[in-house]
Amino acid sequence: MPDILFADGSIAPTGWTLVPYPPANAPQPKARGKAGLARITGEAAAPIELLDSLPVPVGKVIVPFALWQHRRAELEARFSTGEIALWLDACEEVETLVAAVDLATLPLLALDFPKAGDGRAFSSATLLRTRYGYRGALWAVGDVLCDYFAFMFRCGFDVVVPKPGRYTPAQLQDAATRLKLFPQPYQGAVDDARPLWRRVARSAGATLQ
Amino acid sequence: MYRYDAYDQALVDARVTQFRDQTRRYLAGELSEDEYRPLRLQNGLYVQRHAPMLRIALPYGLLDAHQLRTLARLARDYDKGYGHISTRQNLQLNWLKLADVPEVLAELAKVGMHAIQTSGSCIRSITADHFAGIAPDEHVDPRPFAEILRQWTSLHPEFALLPRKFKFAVSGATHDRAALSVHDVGLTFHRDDSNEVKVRVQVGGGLGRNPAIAEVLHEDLPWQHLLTYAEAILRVYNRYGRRDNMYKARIKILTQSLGIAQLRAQVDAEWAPLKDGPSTLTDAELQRVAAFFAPPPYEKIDEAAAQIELQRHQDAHAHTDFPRWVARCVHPHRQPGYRAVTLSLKRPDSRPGDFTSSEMDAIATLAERYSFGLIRTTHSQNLVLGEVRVSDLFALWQALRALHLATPNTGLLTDMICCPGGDLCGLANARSVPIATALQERFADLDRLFDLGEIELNISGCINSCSHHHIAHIGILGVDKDNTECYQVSLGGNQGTQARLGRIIGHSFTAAEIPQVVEKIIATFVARRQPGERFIDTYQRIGAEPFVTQVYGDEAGSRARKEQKYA
Repeated sequence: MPDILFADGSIAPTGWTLVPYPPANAPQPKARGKAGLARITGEAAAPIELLDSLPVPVGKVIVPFALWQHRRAELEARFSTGEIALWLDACEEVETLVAAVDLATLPLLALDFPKAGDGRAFSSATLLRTRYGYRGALWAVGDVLCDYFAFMFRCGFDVVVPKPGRYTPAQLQDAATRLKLFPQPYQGAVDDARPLWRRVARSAGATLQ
Repeated sequence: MYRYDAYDQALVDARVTQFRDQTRRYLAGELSEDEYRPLRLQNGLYVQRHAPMLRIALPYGLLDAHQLRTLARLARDYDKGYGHISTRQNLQLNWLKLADVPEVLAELAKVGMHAIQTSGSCIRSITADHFAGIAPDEHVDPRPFAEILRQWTSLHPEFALLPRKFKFAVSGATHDRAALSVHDVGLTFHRDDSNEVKVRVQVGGGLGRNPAIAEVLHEDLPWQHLLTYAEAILRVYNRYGRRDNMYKARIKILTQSLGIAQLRAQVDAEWAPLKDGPSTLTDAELQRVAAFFAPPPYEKIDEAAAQIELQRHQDAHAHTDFPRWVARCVHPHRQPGYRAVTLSLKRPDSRPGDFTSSEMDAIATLAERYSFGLIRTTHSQNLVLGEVRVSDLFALWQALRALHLATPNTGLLTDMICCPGGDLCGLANARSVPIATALQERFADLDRLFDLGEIELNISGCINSCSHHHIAHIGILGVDKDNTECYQVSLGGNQGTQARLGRIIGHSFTAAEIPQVVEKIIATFVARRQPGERFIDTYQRIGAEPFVTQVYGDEAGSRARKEQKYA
């Protein structure tokens, strides 16, 4: 994996290997979700055969949550030593994860942005941080673009991981300098739950604080 | 109106810096076309048929004279010297150069304007009743809430990449003048028995391919919870709105799939932990924002005397169009001795919703002289001077007449809503403007126009339905039929509190046939109307069939009836 960028703008190597679904077998969009029960995400979970066959390399790995659930017995020992982390597909609900895993035992959790325009992980991150009390490392992985880094950090991600080769080190460094472009956003979010009007005194003559 | 403080200003300035950098990286090849597109869209920048189009936000349709002069200058310096009012009360410039756009945004920022989220799959700029704050039938001024929502939605990190666009509209009046029920969320502010402000939240309306009338999600939400409740709606939508098919990605589809009761249950479940959280609005914050919308320093005027004076003017100028202009373009006001005035941008010699830089300058001057320097835009693509003394009406009319801005057709057949269509828009299947022009010419006679009374006729160049043809009494939709521009006609749509979707009457027509088709529809109305009936009243009483028969003839009519389906 490439370098990663922290919310404070620092850059480091990952030290983790992410196990993706092979592109050909990635979850395929389904024609129609089932209203009410499945709620509508338009996508299906990964097929069982795929979960059975996906190799899990040695070392510190980030595996699909569905794979870990399916092969929990096999991976439990490595999980207990902290070398198995999980990543969640955008179509998977954080509620399912929360029900299946004690979040405090996760060395890190990654949320996937399957494509650049898909903002579901923003909500997943927000819920993990604000509703389910997750305090561990939260990584944004997948189609992670630098123009959304600031939004990702506001939603509770503490690390963003662009795709290998997407940015040169200089470009990543450049992106880090832009993180504080909007120091006083209007609305509350995970980083600061207070809307602007609770953070500062606003009036016609207000100066920046 | 709302004035930026240092925080607002810092934000729009930073946005300019950000977009300048994004455009630089795009032009340098660091950003791909696919990566740049959502970024430019969320800055209001489309790439159209001929040139990029910039959609500048006029939040809830309100701007001041200084801002309008700036728009005039930008249109003159960077475009072809005119602008277009959209059905979302924004202003579009159609002939910009991409490389100039950051500079245009920088100029806008200097006068407290931006193009943030006027396009793209995000929460769009908010529209409102164009008589907000002045309408006699208003219970709550929705503009402070619209401004609070504008700020909350601007650059919201969690909702930056929604399944599809998301449009709010607000009103605080008895009559819905903001087409609330065809918005993703329509908010009606009202007062309960103990005078507390409550919000009626409608959700799931929209036009386009699958038009839908919104359903009520919450009947009386206390205003303090506006943002947390909106957050709950948006979160449910962001998580569960469809992303596999862009034509089924709006919240209307989620609403229909889940059913309103299930959607409500999900929103309520999401809302419960948010309720009373830090985003809960306080009296102090509402008062702070509401102070910007305090009534201007009105003169104390005797309404009865003002009316007598107005009548005298009308009588003295009975031979002119002044009485007609008063009848159509002058609207009641809650302040005695004041009126709101519509400036019609539906003129025989220009495209619906268009006005030139010199007209913008002139209107800015008139606004300063007659309306406390404020200008409003309407979703039906007109302008409004909202604060005009009755005693100034005649002088204003004379000035407007000289500017060709006094066409007395507001609410009449020629007050058509019309998108730019195939002449400019990259999405259109057909041109819409030539249809509007042909109808303008055919129905130019004011005696006839007044006799026909209120008729809403809207023309969309494609199924994206920017002109709201689904909710027009007479809707015209451009379609592509074997590479030929054709036009489908629907009847019986209605906006407002009794919103309904129109019904397609049969097979489509060529552009040349449309005026005659509209003539036949009008002839049917004239033949069948009862005294005092408007077109829509007659239609609702007698149904589509007499119109279909008149348009298609008996034989064709029966075939057409078989093909009938709801729009």
